[in-house]
Amino acid sequence: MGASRGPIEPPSPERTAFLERAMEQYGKATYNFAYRLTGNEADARDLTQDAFVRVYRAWRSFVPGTSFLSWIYRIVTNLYRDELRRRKGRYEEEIPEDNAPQEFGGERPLAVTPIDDYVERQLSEPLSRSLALLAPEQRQVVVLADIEEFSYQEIAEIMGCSIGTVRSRLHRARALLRRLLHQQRQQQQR
Amino acid sequence: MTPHLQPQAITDYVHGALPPAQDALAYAHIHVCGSCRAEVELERALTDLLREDAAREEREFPSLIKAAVWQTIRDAKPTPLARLKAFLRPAIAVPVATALLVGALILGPVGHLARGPVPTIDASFYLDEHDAQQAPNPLAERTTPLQPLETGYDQSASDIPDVAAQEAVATSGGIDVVH
Repeated sequence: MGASRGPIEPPSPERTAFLERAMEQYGKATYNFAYRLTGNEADARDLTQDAFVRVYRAWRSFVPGTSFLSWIYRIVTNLYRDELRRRKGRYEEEIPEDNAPQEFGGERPLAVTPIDDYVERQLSEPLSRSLALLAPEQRQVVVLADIEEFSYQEIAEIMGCSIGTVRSRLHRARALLRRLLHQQRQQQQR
Repeated sequence: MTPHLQPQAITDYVHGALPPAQDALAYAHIHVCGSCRAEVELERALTDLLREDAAREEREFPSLIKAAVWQTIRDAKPTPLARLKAFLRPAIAVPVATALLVGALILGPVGHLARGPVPTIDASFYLDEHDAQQAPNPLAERTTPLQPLETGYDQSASDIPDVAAQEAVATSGGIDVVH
């Protein structure tokens, strides 16, 4: 991933301590969030690593007294989005639009990146498989709202969109998730 | 009975995102409406499923990430500002400044000579100019005196200084001024 590229300022004691503490306290949460977004450990590791390098680089932009978790999740979300765009360019794959309804079209999965294809083949759990089939933006909003339990306002800040977009994305994502789960359970019963 | 909850409102209700008044209405409605209650329970079940799955899948923070982050920071190219700061550290800056100072001292006079002679202005220029400007009558050096105009104009009431007329008279040996 790309955050490790480019110039960087040399270590200073405050900055070093800031990063050390950030990794100590929020490393696990950040890594798990990255894992839920990407669906695999290798990409989650890269994403987490890039996020903490970004934390080190932009540590002065963190406002003390605000939620560090929201801040680093926003970094992770942006990096993940950048990575998807980069891969979209590389593989010329189609990424569903934010607000377009994601209809599960039978044999063609909604997962559009090679990673998602891999995850879709590897995972056996219906829920994980269904999550992997959601569009990246939908998966993000479900993870943030239902697993991380952020408010709509916080999710809007993390994802850089309006609360209305969060509402509609979450509603559509959950409706699709329920439908996917239902289909997969029916397939398992056959 | 209040109207059924819209699907979007059910999602918002489950996530505690409805405004207080609407939330109270939804709460009251769910207690009397079986179908809406079933929808809410279904949504909550999905949330529970997601959380259980996340808890089951939770991973520890790999220690190699930490090492990789520090390695990336160490290997990263410094910013131009950081490079400048590194260059300006005393071990380098002091010898460089000394060399520049010595160079300026040595090359200073040479540079001055290279520019050639500085153009000068003769002192008499200033003296003459000042003399001309400070003279009580700038016209006093005229060799030919002013001729009075025979226009019938009353010069006694004019702005021409009397000194000029007096000096003109004195230098020419006396000219009758027509009044």
